[in-house]
Amino acid sequence: MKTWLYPIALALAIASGAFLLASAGLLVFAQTQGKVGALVNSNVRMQLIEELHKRPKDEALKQRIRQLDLQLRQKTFTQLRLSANCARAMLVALATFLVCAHFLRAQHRQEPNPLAWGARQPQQEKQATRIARWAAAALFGLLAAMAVWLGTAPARLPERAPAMAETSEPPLTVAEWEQNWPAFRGPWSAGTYRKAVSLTLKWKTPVPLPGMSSPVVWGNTIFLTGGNEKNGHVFCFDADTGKLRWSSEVKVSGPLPPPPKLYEETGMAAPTPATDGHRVYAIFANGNVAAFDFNGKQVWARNLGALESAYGYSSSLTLWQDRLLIQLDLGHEEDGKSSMLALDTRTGRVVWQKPRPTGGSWASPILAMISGKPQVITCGDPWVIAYDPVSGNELWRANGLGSDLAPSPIVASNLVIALKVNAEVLAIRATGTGDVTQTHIAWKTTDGAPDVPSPLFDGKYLYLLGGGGLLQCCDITNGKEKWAHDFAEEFYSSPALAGNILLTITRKGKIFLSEVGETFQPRGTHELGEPCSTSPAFHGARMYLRGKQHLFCFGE
Amino acid sequence: MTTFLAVQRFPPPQFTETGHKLPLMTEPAVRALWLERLDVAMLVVVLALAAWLALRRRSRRELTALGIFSVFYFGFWRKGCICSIGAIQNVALALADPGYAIPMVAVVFALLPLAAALLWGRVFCSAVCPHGALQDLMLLKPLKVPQWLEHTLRLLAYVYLGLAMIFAATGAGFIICQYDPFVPIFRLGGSAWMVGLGIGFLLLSLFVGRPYCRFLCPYGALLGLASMLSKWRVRITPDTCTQCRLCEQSCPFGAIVPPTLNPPTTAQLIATEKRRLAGLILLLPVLVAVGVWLGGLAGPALARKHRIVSLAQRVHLEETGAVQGTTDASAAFRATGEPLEKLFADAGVVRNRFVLASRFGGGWMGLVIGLKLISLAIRRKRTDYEADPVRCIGCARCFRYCPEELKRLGLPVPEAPPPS
Repeated sequence: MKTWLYPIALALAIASGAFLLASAGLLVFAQTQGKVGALVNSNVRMQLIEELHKRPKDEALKQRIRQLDLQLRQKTFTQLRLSANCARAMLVALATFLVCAHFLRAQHRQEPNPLAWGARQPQQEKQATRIARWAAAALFGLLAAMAVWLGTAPARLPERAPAMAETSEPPLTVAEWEQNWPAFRGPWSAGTYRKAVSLTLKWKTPVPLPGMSSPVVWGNTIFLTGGNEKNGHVFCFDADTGKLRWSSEVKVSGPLPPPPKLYEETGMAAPTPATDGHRVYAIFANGNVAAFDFNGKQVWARNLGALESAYGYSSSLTLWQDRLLIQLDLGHEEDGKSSMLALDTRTGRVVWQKPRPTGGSWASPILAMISGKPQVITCGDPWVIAYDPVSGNELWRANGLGSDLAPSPIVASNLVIALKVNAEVLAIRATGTGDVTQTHIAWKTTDGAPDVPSPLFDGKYLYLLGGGGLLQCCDITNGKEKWAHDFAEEFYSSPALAGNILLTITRKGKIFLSEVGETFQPRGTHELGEPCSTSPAFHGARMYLRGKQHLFCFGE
Repeated sequence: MTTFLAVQRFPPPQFTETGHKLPLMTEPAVRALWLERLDVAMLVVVLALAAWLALRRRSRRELTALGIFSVFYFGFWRKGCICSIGAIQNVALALADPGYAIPMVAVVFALLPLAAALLWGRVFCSAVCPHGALQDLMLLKPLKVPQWLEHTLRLLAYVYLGLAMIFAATGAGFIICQYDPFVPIFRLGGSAWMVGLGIGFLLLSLFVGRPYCRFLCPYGALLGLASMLSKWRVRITPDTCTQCRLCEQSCPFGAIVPPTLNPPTTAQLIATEKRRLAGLILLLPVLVAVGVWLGGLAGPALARKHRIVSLAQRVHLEETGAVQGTTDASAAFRATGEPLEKLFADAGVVRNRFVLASRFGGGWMGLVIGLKLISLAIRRKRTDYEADPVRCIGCARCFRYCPEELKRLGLPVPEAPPPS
């Protein structure tokens, strides 16, 4: 029998049910609006922030971002409040609905009537049992199929972890390092060599593929890199005869990124390789980095992703013991693409990787021993940063560099000489920690700095060769110019010092020999016969230089 | 660790020169000891009360009231945590990893309802578990699930139990809690798809009695097994079953099993049934062995769920150049400077542990399905309508349908309506 409560319960049940449906719709709508994501993922906000990176002093823009940020936060909190209140209201509505619905159900309750159910059918029950058996068996089959399917996608781990012992090699000594020319501009990337070298051509040999990399030398073995538009190659030459011993193409397994845009003045193979006497290491603009043994067999290779860079990737490799050090300055600072990377020279695995607060640069990292401890020193826009090559920990940093940075730094009398292109020369004491901008800048000059060639230090004076041919000699203690000489030629090649002879090589391939120090004294010239943008390497009584088509050997 | 895993929901302000001080990230305070003791006390009291109401008072109305209390206390107030369903994972992890210090409250929540089930059947499910009580309150128009489907779907709970034990014992995570559909309801919030799942189960509960409890709850599966041994479990009639069939359709959970029919049989039929039974008994070790093998096959893939294996795999792929860039996790790992060899070695240990646990899990699933096949092939002799100890959750719905119960209570026994 229906009581007077029945219509009230019915009305309440309908109302609460409708409210539940409406609230659920509202919640779904709130979800589609992105909820908290509205703030984080606002495209307009991100675009404005991007804009602010380009115009950091635009106060109106800042104000606009602030207002938008506030609006988005308010919207977000409003949505959150709405969702929470909606959920609470739904709970109350659900309770109301259930109470009413159960009440209404009780009003309609009928006593069970077994007579109406008819007699039980043994065959039907037997059939149900049979179906149940097959259904259980089917479930087992389904689980088995899932297990087999899962078995096709196991966790991919190395078959065995590389043990340190299996690749143990005698550690590279500083003496070995210094006896060779293992990296760009020599062991300490200074471009200086203890002996004078005669410019008598011993041999010249064609290089199979073009490249802007400079030669590196270990014993009587010379390594060079070259490349076409798709991939990079490593070449090995006999230092005595110039004969090409082997040529190997880098082969990386797995999917590769599309090749980057190549530039005429850098190309695929601008970075200079490095060697430790066991292997030679090379990096190319397509992101391939590889190690080859001295017989040309690839030991390992990997791809770091396409090294997209405004003028083409050109940062050379250097080494510290079993760490291959790679400076990856890419894109803009706010892109967060730049990092300093150390790979295990034996396996190619990442030993450490540190993000860098820098945009794209074209300079190479250098090694230095400061107070008996190794530092790898890098130049980027705007920071000079030194790292511990073993751990990757940042040792110090100094602000002061700018964009379009190509010259690599050098260390001169415990001062790091870094160049802000066309603007300033910074001399930084390399003994600080943290941000040393305010505390460790020994001096800086503000009347210009070379754009491409790296600086040189002869133990007393600093030499700066501009791309337009102006050679400046500066006092290392204060940066003041002592004398200057204009070659009236264009240079990309960094200057080198062999004995007391300064070698400067023009883009057209003319080598100027000069005796420098207190004064500038020209000592002759030599024509390569082809353009040259690379820097020379020295070993024994010889100098090796790469022209556009040939590798040259001068000396005994 | 909590701080590390905490998600900053809003990006910090862009302009630091405004002097805005970011609030420090805080961790939720540890639950006070007295509150934990209160939870345990509540469990003991509510469990005892549920047993008394189901077995002695035999009162559906009072059990419903107790269920509503449990929904509010263990559900909305305690936000679904701690709960006995999830606590079995703590126990599994503690058994597998001696270094894991299991909270005492988790031990009590995991074991006490099991102990109660050994004595009184699934009284925990009747009115103590907030998940079950909430679904029970939602039930308005119960539909009968076909028996074959009921048998099959109930197996899923054992499969889920096996999986949950694998993941818990290997330290990969507590998947029962992660994918608990009712916790977002109790907390009035959660990820969109988990809230959707919870709402989906509630809607299903309008027409299917306790779908989660019957077909998925891994703790219910354990309680069902324990209930088989219980001495004082629920009985439909307080006296002799008159086989009036009135109780038959009162149970929305398919837990009342009828007396066995005696269909005409022949010697050939009996021989066939015996052969089938013998075959299924012989099949049981085969199913277990195949399950063990399949578990070993799936183990390395399941291991990817573990954070160490997942990280090691990512780093390995980065190392081999198969993927580009780093993830937050791999970048964070690399920043620690820890050697890769150690990461890979640790991941290898976890993977092996997973393979072992998966073999056990696969064997368990083979055993459960094999036993189900055997149980379906056994010819039973049952003379009365009975509550299946494995399925019956002691909701007390059937009592008031039994004329003997009404007589016991001194209530009028309604006359059966005429057949329609």
